[in-house]
Amino acid sequence: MGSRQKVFLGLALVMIFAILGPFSSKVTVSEPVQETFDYIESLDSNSVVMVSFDFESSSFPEMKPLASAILEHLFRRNVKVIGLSLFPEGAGLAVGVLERQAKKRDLTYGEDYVFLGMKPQPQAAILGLGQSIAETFPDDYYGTPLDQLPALAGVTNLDSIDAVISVADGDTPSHWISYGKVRYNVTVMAAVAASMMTSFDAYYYGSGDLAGLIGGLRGAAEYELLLGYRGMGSRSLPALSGAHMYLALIILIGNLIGWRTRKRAR
Amino acid sequence: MEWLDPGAYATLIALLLAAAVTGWTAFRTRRGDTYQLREIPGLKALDDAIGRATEMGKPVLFTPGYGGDIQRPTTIASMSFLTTVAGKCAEYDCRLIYPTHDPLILATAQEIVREACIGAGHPERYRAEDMHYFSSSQFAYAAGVEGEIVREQPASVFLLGTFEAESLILAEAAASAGSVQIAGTDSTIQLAFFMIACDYTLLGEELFAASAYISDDKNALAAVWAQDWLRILCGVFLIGALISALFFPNAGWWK
Amino acid sequence: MKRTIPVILSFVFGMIAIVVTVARPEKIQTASLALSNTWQIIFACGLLAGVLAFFMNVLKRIKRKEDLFFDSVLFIGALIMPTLALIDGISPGSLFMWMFENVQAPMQSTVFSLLAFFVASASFRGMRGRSAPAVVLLITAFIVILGRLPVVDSYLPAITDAVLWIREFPSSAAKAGLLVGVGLGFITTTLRVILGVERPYLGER
Repeated sequence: MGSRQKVFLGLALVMIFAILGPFSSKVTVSEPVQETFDYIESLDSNSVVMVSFDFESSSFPEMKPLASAILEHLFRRNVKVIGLSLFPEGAGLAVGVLERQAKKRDLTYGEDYVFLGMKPQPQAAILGLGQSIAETFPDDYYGTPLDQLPALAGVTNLDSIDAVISVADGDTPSHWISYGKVRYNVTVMAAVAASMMTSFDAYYYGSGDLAGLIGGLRGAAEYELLLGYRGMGSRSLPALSGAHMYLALIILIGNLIGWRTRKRAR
Repeated sequence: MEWLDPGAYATLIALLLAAAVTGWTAFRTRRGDTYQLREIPGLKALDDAIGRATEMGKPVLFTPGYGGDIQRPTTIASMSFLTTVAGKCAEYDCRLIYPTHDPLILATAQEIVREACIGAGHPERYRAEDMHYFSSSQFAYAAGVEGEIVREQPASVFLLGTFEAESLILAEAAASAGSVQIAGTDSTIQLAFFMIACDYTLLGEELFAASAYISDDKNALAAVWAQDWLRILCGVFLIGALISALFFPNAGWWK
Repeated sequence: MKRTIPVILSFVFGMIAIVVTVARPEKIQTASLALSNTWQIIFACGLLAGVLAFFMNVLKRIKRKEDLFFDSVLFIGALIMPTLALIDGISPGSLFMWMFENVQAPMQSTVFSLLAFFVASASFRGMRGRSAPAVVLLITAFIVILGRLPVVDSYLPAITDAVLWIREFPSSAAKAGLLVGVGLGFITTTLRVILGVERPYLGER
């Protein structure tokens, strides 16, 4: 077994042990997550929020806890939710998450929430939504004309929306900022994969372009803590911590081996 | 002026300035003025990488990554690089494999490689079956390219373009196959992975300078020259904005 | 003519895109929607062309019998989803959606999860303190990895503060510098394509 295979095996064992073991992790709420929570907490039943599920199936295990936590909060506040996706795979996955969360609260499709479906090419879609939602999405995901959906009464374009929350595994929130916020002045928040946090926190969140930012499974765990329940984010933390500790150990071992090899060569 | 969006004034000014500087450098290069480029290790290694593949009798693999489509400037810069790589592969009779995730990129790349083979005097060395589209789905593409690397065992792998999470999968697959890797991307996140995993990495704009570096194209040289002048102007602007923010906090011209 | 028309089209559409960006939204509403719809149509046509090219490639490989078993599996596998979509539709609860949620999505997630293993092997292989800058990188990476641990958050808040400082200042500054360079590269490359100086769509530099 080569060294690469040993590294892989070690990580697999650590993750299995962490997932199956009776571990739990405490987490403290960070400022961007608190601001996102506070903003949604300030909304009410007159508010309309657009949730854009901009992810693909590969990152679904990470994005699902984020999407679920945000939808749970929006539905608790009786906010009207307009769901859509700018990725083909995102649409199929998003509708399942939306319906599961709505079912928990006995919400009615068309009155409390709608799902518009998918539109490719994020820039083009956002520009279109800024002009007219009905022209960009003539029907919803199920083929119903938008004028037959009570939740969309009076909602014509991005000017009628209180906020857009982009649940994304890539840089789609930057398109929402460039075209949604800059051109149409809509409030934008983002729930992104952990690997994208560094792209958004200093430039977009730090400059005020993003009103809120939640990142990765840890962000989902923090949000669940604020909502008062233990969901997928919180349950994944032990495995996440175990993997990080293993990485730190692997780097140390690699350097020790390298140092010993160089010493012998001298 | 009633047509112009006030929020886009800064964009318009920047665009006109960039066009003016690009036009000025193009004029100067056409007049015969030259511009010295510094050494970029990743580009210097290009000939060695293709030579290595030729000597070992193994193919070269070039892929532009999942993150960009054909209109993205990084992909266009990658295509410029492909022109040179394809020409050298045709010259040395070295097999070039080009997998991609986007049909439009594939069509453009096929055109480029075919023209490069004709330009090298060997149109028969163009192999259409080595240029293929895997999938528009990120990890289907990544799995496909990874599998191709493991099966074909290329001697050299070029990872040039916009990459997303598949970058490290491809880089590690290439490392385990014993390939020399030359990588370059505009994604700052993936650059970190490439720096650790690859033999040579082109940082950000070095990918855009590649075309000027490896060819005698005056237009490409003019573009690199323009980029350097624009960078100086950006630096001057930032210093001015810093001084203004420190000593004249109420002045918001730089916003 | 064959080479002139694409250059003219590139210039015209490039200028339209610039006008759409800088003009007031209400003035260019029709052009903006037309451009976005054109973009989406081209994307869909390109996807169709790619799928056809994929099937043709696989059929050629089957004909050559290079790797008959795997190519046949690939061909049949690629046909399953469109066949299910034609038979049962793509609405929630259909066979297509079942295959997507229970086969394709987990497969995608599985390949993505391989990244964790590759990060571990790349770290083991590549993160060695061979030189002064490499040692700085190593120490920084170590601090950032430790800072992500919830237990460190509770008992060693100084490390979490250090991670925030690293993310906010040196890391952001370096990224900003790279992004400025990349942005300038974008501008000059795009201007060259719009003005017809660079013609990648014709196979020319």
